[in-house]
Amino acid sequence: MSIKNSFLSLFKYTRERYTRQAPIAILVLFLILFPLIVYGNKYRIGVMTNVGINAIIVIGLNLLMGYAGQVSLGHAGFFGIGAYCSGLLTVNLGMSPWVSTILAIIFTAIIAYIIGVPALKLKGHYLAMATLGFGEVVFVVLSKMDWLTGDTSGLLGIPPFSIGSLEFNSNFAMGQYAFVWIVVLAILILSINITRSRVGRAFRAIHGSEVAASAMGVDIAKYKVQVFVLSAIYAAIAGSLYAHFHGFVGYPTFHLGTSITLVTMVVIGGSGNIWGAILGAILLTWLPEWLIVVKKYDIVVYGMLLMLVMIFMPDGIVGRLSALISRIRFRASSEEKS
Amino acid sequence: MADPILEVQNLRKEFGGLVAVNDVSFQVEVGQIRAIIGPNGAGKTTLYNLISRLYTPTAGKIVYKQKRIDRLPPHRMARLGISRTFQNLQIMNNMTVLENVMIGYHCKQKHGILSSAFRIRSFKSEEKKAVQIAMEKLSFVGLESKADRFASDLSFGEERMLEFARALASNPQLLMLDEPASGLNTREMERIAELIYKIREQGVTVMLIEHDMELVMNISDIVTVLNYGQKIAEGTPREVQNNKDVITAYLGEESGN
Repeated sequence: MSIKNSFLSLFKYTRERYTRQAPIAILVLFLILFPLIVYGNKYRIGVMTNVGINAIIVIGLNLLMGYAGQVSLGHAGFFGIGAYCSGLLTVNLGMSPWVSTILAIIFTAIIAYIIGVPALKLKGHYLAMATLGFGEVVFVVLSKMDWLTGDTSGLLGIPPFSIGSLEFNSNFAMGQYAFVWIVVLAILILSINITRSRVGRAFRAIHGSEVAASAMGVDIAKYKVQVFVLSAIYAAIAGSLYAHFHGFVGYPTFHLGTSITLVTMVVIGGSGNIWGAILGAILLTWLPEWLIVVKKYDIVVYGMLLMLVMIFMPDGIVGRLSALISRIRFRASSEEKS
Repeated sequence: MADPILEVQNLRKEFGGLVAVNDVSFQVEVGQIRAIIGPNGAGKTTLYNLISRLYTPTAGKIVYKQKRIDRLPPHRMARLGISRTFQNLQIMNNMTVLENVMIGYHCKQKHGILSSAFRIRSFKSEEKKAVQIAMEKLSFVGLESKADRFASDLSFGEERMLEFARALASNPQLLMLDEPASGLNTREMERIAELIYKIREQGVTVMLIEHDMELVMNISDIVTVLNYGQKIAEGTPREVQNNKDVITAYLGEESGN
């Protein structure tokens, strides 16, 4: 009997692998239809491109916060390091954007490792404070970069990505849109794979109980640093895309407010669920566009919405939805039995 | 006589001025069921935390299979074959029951972040094996029907069983149980006793902190008694039961004596 049950659940586990592809298919379909829905409106396609850039960071932040339970209020810092690094290497040294992106990723990863090893020994609010401090340091450094950028407001004239003569500059909205979402999908699939593995379980085990995880053989320090560096790499990728898409980076983009917005995207979408990152990025990137109708009261409405979601859906929107779905499934299966 | 699986020599742990474990020495033989008993605050759980390396000893040695382990990091213990449960349950409520048990198998798996991200072939077969082992352990404790539920959905007794299954998933040679029966009803307690016997039959050495004297006296081979961080007695359940110091520690000094 027990052997039969083990096989049944083995079967269930492998079947799950295929059901996880359904949401990806839905997302791809939506992304193909979106330009048609907005009648090719360049501005709206541009907003959706920004959604993609945000989604890349938020996926990483969700792995860090939602899965491994480590808070970061400094991810705008990694976003900024990636963007400035990529920008400076192309503008000042004339590198190809492809090469500068790779170097920006490596550089950001090294910084994240150096920061992460000591900072991740801290827990909860202390870690939040440490990462917040890091973000502020990066912000101050970036704001004093005029000796390198030649301009007090930021760095201008960053070249776009190009394949042959095809340039992904800001006039080519559809190209940027396709480019960023292909990157998002790749990162999404790799991240989902990580969450459904020994490593992903280790992340969540650290969140669930550090002592138990440690006693069961999970090297807590190692996995915390791994997920921190991984999330910084994602932020650096987003930073490079941002720099080469816009052709300009300004330091105010990488202020504390951005870090907080990113964390909010994780929480609203649903922390502990990768899909929450996508939904959170879509909602909170579009929200300011929709709130234009309430003019200067937008920040009030924004805050109210956050409070309402937190009160009624503490697990975020995707968390709430998946709880509903599993409840319906459970009811259906118990009805089947009776 | 074979070498002991675990040898603790003059182990000491101080927290500030408080001596929680005071020069405790004992040996555990392979295949034994060893109970550690003592009044509240006797230092039993501290002793466990020292052996599983969550705490670093102030002085003394811990030797496991002829190898000193008292300076190794805690996550190395599982791979060496030492596994434990917790008195105040340490269940990962954010994971399913099956995944909780799979964490126990973590130390037997090798794949890292890259091979997981790209799902290489050997990764997939390793994952299948992990699911299979975890399911076996779940059916061993009778929780297989709850495998896909979240651990937070379990009852208290089921959570104790889940910790048991998780500790077994690492295929330990030394299993340290911290009050496995506390908060359980009689039926569940009988089941725990039965499981401990079964585990011993598989050649696993079992250490047991327990307050339920009936359980301790029934199943242990040797009982070690701690009081105020010191070992005050050791012997078979019968010997310990008749030991004067033990009776005093539990019942207090008779007045006028």
